Amino acid sequence: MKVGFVGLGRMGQAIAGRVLGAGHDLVVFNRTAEKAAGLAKAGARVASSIADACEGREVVITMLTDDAALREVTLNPGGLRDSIPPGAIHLTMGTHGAGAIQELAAVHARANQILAAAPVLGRPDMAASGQLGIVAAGPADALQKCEPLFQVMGRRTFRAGAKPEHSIAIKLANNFLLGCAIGSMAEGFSLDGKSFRGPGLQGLRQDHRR
Amino acid sequence: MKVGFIGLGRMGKGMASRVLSGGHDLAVYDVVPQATAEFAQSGARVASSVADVCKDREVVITMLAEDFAVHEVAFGPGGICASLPAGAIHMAMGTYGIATIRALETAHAKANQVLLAVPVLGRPDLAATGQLGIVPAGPEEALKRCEPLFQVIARRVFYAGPKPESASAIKLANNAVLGCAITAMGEAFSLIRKYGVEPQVLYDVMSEGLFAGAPAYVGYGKTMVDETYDKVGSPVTIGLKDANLIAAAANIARVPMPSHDVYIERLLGAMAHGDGDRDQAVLAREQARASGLE
Repeated sequence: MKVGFVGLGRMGQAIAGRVLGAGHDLVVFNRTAEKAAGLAKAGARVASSIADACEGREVVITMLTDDAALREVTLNPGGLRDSIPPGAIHLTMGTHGAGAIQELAAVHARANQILAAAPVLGRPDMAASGQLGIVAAGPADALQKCEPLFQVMGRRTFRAGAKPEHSIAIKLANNFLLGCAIGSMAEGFSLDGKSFRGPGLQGLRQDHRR
Repeated sequence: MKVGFIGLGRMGKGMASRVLSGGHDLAVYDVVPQATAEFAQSGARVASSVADVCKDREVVITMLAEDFAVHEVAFGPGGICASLPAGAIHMAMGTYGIATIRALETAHAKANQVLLAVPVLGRPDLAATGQLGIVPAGPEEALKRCEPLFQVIARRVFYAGPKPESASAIKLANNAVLGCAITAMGEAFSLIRKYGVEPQVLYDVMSEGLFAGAPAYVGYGKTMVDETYDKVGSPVTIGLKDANLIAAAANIARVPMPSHDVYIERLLGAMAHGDGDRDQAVLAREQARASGLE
């Protein structure tokens, strides 16, 4: 498959490495060019611009840290909207807001392109070994087309629905549950450790190991 | 060991039968006479009163559902404080509040008796098979004496310290973390439902990812997905009873617990909507109402 990849942070490099390792035709782009060096050595073509990374690609993956970067890369002149071929897929793999994803889905639809969102679950080491969880959402035929990519990136793909924002809702809900668990554990440890002067943290920690 | 047992409800029954089958000399008492029938058959002595069940005992265990019940049994005329031999142990195994545990500790000390607080973790089926977790706290020497009982009642013993209230703090903190997990799952399911996503997807992500193998998430999450709220493990009413003990403990220790406060509000709302006797997973429905989903 002809794949473009924009955003070579720690996660991006690892995921792109999996795509390349599976034998796909990979073009990469990163604002800081040095981050592409490893992939270049492994056989990826390093694009000179975002437009260059999009040319002739069936799928362009973005792995960016925030919504501002995603909007910039997509909407700026020479960005993904201007550069990926009609019918091609923009696959976002970062954790983005529901608003940004809804907005970009509409933008790509107007340009006859397709947006799919596949935020990931896991750390860079899991990305490097293809052990991520992937929550994928978007039009069914687009997801089907991306399936070979999901298979080399992840251990498990969770299909969340036909709208890109569906996977965003799942990813955010999962992160929310983690945040609440951490917050409530902090409350629990305070209750235990503060004025009861028992074993403090130790007792509760054992309790949770069960 | 000479053991007395007061409170043969769903949990107490299983625990007392473990003590008996462990070869201990057991006397039992319950305000509901039928509850003692099976124990008479299997060789326990059925006592006629609290005073009677305390007679000659080295340890008396109470497994009662409410703080007021343990108050009455301990402090009333002919109660444990008045009846238990000097040097003997009262092992309080229900989930009681900090203030109650402190009052019991003081009263028993005055009567030359010892209080241990040993709340349990687990359901009736685990009690009947000796698979409970228990959290004992109290004077070390008394804990040592009770070890043979811990071994027949529990699979895992978490020692909490020399003060009985430490065990209550651990048990209540653990319940607080669970309550917050239930509340948070309710919010998360409402969020994804409003985006039109099937609840099963979030359940799969949770139970195969960050929360894999965590009974609180795997168990309550499943009930939320299937909406089988009438299959009751722990009902909303009991959740609220324990949550009020947690709030009181937090108040005594001056610990703000904002996440836990939200749990209490949802419990109250579920009761107000007639879901008090349903499983606590029904808080997902309460949250859904608040989100305009039902």
